[in-house]
Amino acid sequence: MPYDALSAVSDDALLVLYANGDAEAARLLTLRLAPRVLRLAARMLGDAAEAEDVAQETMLRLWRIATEWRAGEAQVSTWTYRVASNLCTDRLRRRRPVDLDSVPEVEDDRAGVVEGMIEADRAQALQAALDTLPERQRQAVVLRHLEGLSNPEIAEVMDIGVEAVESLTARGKRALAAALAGRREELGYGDG
Amino acid sequence: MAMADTSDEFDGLDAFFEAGQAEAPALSDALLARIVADAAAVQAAALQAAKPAPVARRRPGLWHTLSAAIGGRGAVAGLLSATLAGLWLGFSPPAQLAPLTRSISQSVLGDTTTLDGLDLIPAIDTVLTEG
Repeated sequence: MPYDALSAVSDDALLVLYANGDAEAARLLTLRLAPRVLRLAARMLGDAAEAEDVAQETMLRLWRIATEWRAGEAQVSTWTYRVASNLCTDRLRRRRPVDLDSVPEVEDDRAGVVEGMIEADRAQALQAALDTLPERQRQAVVLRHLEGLSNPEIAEVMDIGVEAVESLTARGKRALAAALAGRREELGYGDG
Repeated sequence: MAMADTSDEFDGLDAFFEAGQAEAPALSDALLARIVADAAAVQAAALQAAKPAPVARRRPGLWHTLSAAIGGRGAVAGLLSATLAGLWLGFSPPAQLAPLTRSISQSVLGDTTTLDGLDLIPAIDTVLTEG
C-alpha cells in the first residue's frame, strides 16, 4: 500500500497490514514508534548505543508478535513502551555493580561559561540528574514529563496503579529538583 | 509535552524538561534501516510458515490418459450414451423399425432366406470339407 495512504492508519491496523505482508507498514510503524522507544531508552540508560539496541530489540519483538496481535486489547505504543522499559530494567540490573562507580558527576567548575550555555548542557545536566534516580522514579518521570504520557497510560506501561505513578513522579521530581538545585543558576535558569 | 507543575518545589524543573525534549536523540537512518530489515526478515519467515504445504502432484492414471485422448469428459459421456443407445436398440428395437429391417434383409438375401434363418457363422465342418 502506498505510504501516503497509510499515514492516517492506526498503529493497530498498520500492525495487521504488516502481518499480512504489507512492506510499507513496517517502515511507517518504525517511524512512529522507534523514536519514542529510543528516547525512553536513552534517558533510562544514559547511553546512546545501548538505547539503539533496546529500540531495535523492542521493535523486533513487535514484529514477532504481529501475527498474534489482537486489535483493541492494548495500544501498540503502550506495549512498546512497556517492552522497552523492561529491556532497560534488565540492562540496568546487569550493569549495576559496575555503574555504582561510574555515575556521571555533575560538573561544578563551569563558572564563566554560564552565558554561553547551550541547551545541550541543560539537557546533559538533566540526564545526569535522571541517572541518579531509582529506576522506577526515573521511568515514571521520563514517561510523564519528557514523553508526555498521561498517568493512566504510565500505569499501564509500568503495570502499577495510577496512585503509585503519582507517588513515583512526585518523589522523582523532588529528587531531580534537589539534584539540579545547584545547577539552575549556573545553567541560566536562576532568578536570583 | 511536559506537564506544567505549579508547585514552588518544582519551579524551574519544566525548563530542564523542555531542554531535555529539545535535545532528545533522533532515529538515525542506520537504525531505521536495521529495524526495517528485521521487520522484512520476520515477515518473510512468517508468511513462509503460513503457506500450506505443497500437495504432491500425482501422475495421471490410465482413465485420465484415455479420457484426455478421446477429448475429455464430455466426449466420454457422449460415447457412453451412444453405446448404451445402440445396445438398447439391439435388444429391444422399436416396432417401427421392423419393416425397414425386413426390406433391407430381403434386398440383400432375397425372398427365400429370412433374417432369422441366416447362418452368419457356418459350422466348422463345412469349412473343413471344402478345404
